[in-house]
Amino acid sequence: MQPVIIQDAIAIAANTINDNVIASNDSLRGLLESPFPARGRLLAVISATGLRIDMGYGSKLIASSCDARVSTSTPDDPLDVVNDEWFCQEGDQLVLRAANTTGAAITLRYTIILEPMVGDDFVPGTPYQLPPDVLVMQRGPVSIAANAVDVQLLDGLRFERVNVPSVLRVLMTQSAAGLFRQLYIDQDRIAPPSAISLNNRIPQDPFDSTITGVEVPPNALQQLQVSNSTAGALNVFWKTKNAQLVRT
Amino acid sequence: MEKSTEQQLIENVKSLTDRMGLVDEIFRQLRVGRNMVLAFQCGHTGLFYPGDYLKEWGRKYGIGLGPTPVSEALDTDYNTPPPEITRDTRSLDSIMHPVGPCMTQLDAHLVEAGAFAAGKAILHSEDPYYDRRIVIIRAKQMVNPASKLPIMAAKWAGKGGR
Repeated sequence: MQPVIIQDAIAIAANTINDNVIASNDSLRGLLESPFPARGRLLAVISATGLRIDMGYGSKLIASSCDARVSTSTPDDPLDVVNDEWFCQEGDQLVLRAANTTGAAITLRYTIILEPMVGDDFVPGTPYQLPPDVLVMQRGPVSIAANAVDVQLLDGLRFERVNVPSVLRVLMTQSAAGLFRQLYIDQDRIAPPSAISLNNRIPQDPFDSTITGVEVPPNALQQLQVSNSTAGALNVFWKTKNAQLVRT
Repeated sequence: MEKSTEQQLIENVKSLTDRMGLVDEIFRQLRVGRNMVLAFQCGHTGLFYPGDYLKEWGRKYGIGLGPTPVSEALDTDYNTPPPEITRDTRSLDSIMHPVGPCMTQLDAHLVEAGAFAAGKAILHSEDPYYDRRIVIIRAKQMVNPASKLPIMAAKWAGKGGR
């Protein structure tokens, strides 16, 4: 059974939200629903900052309000992967939402790959047990004022708390030297202050990995704190990946 | 030249090279009444960026464009068609070919201060939502032969603006 690959470059109009960019392309409408139980991979880049994407299948969200790397070409695999560990059932509708808050039209270049979890002997309609999804958020640039601390980069975001046990990975970069990050899970400081990569772009996995293998209890607060010790504002780019241990 | 300006000039040149010939040239030109400044010129648009562009990369310029200094001047992607006009489209201003930083090479030049001011690029930090730059770019898109925007403008007008 062959994987399904959905690839497109679409302009998102200024100050608009496209609720499902896959449906905006008539030739891709036939691929809106997954034809088999599959492992999904999402890759995305944007032509300019100011475009955010959300990805989900059925009633589930697996990438929430994500910024992407600014690029003039197609997404690099695997460096521009947003989320490559989500699992959808046969018939689940794929939804890729794009929100442009700027005054200019911006291009979203994306690739969705559905790798079959079943063989050619799969009988459509048969329930299939799938692994849990990884939940991803990625943002940047986020400005940190001079001599200031942002005590919670994840404040109010969807996956600030996850309602099942999970394992957390954090990837980060900064635009110029001077930022330090710390991670708390509830009251426990997991990672003491540490410098982060100087790559000035959305973090790429695994090069910009800064914290891995953190066990997060259900509904625990994940607090990612950044401090700027310099006399000028700096920008941070961050990505969190919660690998759920239970499928919801 | 003020001491602080001279110091800043030296630091900007040092971000480029160890040789201070550029600084000497600026002072030589100043003695004959020509006010020259160090500028970085975008290889695609020809616009000028300030002399501290390299030194302040990641701080004032090029946020999110990677570790290597490139031009942040906007360019139009004529290969990607503009978004379709839908029932949710309220104004033709939101419809245009998509744009993005051209990310081309920058070249260091000594230019006259007047020429620099006339050809200075609008910085992304001054215009983070592209509102000022889009006015200029839309005007170019309306006359570029590769652009589909004139066709869409006619379609919009034909629908009575809806």
